Amino acid sequence: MNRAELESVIRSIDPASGEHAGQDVRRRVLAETMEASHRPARRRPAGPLVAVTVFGVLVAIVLVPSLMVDRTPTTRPASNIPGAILDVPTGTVPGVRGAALDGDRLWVMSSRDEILYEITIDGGEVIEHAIGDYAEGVTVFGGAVWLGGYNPAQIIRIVPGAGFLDRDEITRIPLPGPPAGGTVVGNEFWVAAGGSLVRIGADGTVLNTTASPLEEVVAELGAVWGTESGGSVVMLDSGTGEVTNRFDLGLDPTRVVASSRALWVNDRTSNSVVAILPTTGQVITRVEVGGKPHSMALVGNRLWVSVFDTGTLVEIDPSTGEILRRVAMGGGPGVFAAGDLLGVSFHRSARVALIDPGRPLLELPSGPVNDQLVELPSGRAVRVRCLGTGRPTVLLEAEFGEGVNSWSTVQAMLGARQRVCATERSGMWGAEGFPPAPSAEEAVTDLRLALIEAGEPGPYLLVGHGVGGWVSRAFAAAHPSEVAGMVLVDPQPDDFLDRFAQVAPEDWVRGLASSLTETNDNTRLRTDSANPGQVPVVILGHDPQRSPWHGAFDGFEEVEAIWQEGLAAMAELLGAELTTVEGAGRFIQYDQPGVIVGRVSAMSTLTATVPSTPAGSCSAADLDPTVVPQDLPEPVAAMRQAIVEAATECDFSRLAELGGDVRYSFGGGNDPAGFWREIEAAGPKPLPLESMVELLALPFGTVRAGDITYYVWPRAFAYDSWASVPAEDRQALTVLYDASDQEGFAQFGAYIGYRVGITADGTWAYFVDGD
Amino acid sequence: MTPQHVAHEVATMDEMRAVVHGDDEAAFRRLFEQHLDAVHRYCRRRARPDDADDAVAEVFLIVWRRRHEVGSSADLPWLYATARRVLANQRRSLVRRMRLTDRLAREPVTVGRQQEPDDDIRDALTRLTERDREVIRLSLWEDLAPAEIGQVLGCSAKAASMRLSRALDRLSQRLSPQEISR
Repeated sequence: MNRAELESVIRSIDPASGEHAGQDVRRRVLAETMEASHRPARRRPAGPLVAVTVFGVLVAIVLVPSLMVDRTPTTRPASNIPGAILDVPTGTVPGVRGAALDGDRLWVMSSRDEILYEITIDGGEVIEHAIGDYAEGVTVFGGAVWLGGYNPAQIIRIVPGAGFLDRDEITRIPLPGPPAGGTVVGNEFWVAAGGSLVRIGADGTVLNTTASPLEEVVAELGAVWGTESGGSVVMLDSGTGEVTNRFDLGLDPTRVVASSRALWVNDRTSNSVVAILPTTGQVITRVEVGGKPHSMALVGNRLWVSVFDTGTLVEIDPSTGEILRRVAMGGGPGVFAAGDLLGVSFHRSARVALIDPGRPLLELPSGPVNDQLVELPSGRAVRVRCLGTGRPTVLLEAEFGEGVNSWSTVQAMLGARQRVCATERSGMWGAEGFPPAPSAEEAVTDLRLALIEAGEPGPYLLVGHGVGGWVSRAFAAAHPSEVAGMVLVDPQPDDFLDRFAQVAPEDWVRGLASSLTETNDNTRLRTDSANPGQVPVVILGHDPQRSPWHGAFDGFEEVEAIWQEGLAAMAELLGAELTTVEGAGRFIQYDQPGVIVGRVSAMSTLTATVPSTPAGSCSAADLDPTVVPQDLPEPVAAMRQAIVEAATECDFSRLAELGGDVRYSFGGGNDPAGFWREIEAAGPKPLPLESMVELLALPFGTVRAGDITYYVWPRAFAYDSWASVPAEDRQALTVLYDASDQEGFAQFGAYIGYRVGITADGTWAYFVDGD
Repeated sequence: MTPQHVAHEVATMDEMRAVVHGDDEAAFRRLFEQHLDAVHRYCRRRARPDDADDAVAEVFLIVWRRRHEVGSSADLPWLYATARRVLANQRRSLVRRMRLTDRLAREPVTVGRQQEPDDDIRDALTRLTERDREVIRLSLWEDLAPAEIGQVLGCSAKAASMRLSRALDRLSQRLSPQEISR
């Protein structure tokens, strides 16, 4: 057989010759890819977040050989973080501890699942590198990614894809103690660890180890700086590593960054960041940041400080020491500079984000924050952190192991419209060192005493996350008259741990048993409180697709099912509405804070004993709320009715909630309810709410735009030209627009007055006027 | 340990911000209509039907995600190269998860079927290294010219020619003696 014959036979055995892709493949490809460009309009965030929906909506987790990964492409919901250019979930296990941007690649260490994520910032592709050890901190240097490992103490150096068959080449460099800080100095990587300064070459060989009490080591302003455990800031010789200058400041610093003329160090004892002169150590400025300063980053000409225990970021002008913004960033943020963007790694959540500081961010409401630790006669203590005005007061009760920082986003959003108190039970975070309450009932007693002491009266709307839900439930059961409603955020089902122990692998059960000591919240706070006072309750559950047990062990699906069944049983016990929050993991307050805020404000409106807006304060107050039925699809009719009710009740919050991202020609803002108030106060005559109610009483028309059918009021808007609008419609419009107004429409050529549009699926699409 | 970072160029930041509102979808659909069958056949030749479908979907997802950087360079060889990586990743995960059972299922089963003359060549093909097999398939099944093969495999046209020639030599050597002499 010659070569030509051989080739011809090979061609003839082509198993796919002449084959065409089936319809199912076509449909699948189109559906999956078009999902990226055609998200439903109401879910596409406006303005600042468009970039996120365009870049990397679809995250395919691509396998590299050393990985244990689910490579199913998943759809990433749009970011809920204002100002985010990129917002990537890193698996389902919280605990991002360190990230660095290197060119177009973001390297993120997720410590609890021991995976280093490699994220391409343009395509949103996520590659997982299994590290196999708990590690923190990420430095990119010499073609490798460097991590600090703790058990055992080591530096882990990864050269991605450099090993056999494109595997990662991983070098483990033992350290004399846990790494406290590390930096690149010339061609070396310097690590402060276990009372030593260890200098490592770019290839991973240890060059030198010297005794040194360093905690942090940083190369800045052409020198190497460190902090020492005694509270000093030191300057090191970049050749020998010896201390050449020592400033004894009496601070408790762990971090150092340099602005153009000063060194900034954090001081955890005074909740401040401090600027010192690098030459003399003289303190230039001290800025109080409202909590323990964690990490710092210089981006542009601004110093960003993450305050771990309040879940906020503080933006400081380093030249004046002035605080420019306080930004809520739920999830225990760490910050890092990423070019001209601010990188945020979420320690308490499973995500990393790049924020454009030039965009509007979620700022804390102005006004004083009542943040205090109330010590009680029992010897226990409760931390209360409250802000905002308006009834009822929302009480945010955190999950086991969490604190007020868990709620910073929700608190900032809700705080724009009502009083919100995040609390920490005795023994937690700010109340650390105080004995925990022995039961949910006693935790409730503590809480009520602390609220009275702190001057935060009821009525309360309770929000409880995880085991915090037990405290909320015990509160509602014991004091229903003080409780306006309750939103349980992925609350721990009563019998979950018992059932978990029946199905989980043996080592997990053993681990669980050893953790369930007397002091564990799961042991102490468990309650089977029902709802004797018939308090309105909503339960929000996590999305099973983001199960916290995902991949943790074989059969995790069964554990997930037990959780979901537990939520259903609880809903039945409490007479609650149960909703699964799509795309949200266990920390719904990070993944979908808007859902919690929406439910709380709806419930507040429903049950508010003191309305947040005095009755009669809007133009629609005196109008008849009765809606005359029209021949509309059910969802459209329901939305029409809801809008009229909210408007005639002057319920701005409800309007904001109904509207979602409804388009206005008036502008926009971060505070939709406030915005409604504002347009009503400042809006052109006839006033907006009055006009809206009157419009919705007129005959409707329909307008098609692409695939979407809009039901529009008035019908005049459905006509292409004013000339074709029938006389009866012109007549009907006279309630809003007199003859001279209508003359204006005639001149323009079409109706350009107020109009309301609702899509066929009941989404309120717009309320606008003008052209 | 503090999150550190090296100084870096962030030229891509502006690109990230420059949200492209162009006619992405139409361009993507054109590319999709033009090449779907070819990519599908490519995957079918190398994987079981279900895996092939998964791979096809993933290839076009990648195209969509990278449409701004790929632009007009997303031609057929580029798509094949992408499919090749996707299939490789897929195989690795399958091997990890299913190991032996998977491999057994993947090998062509000829039991119960009469041995046909082509089977010798089929068998000889399976006994070649993946590298040799791939260059032969690209040439004779995908019908690519050496330069295009080079694009897929990441080598020059000349190297691709040489690889193809050597692979065919090795295939000939592995055919049973009577097959060669025929």
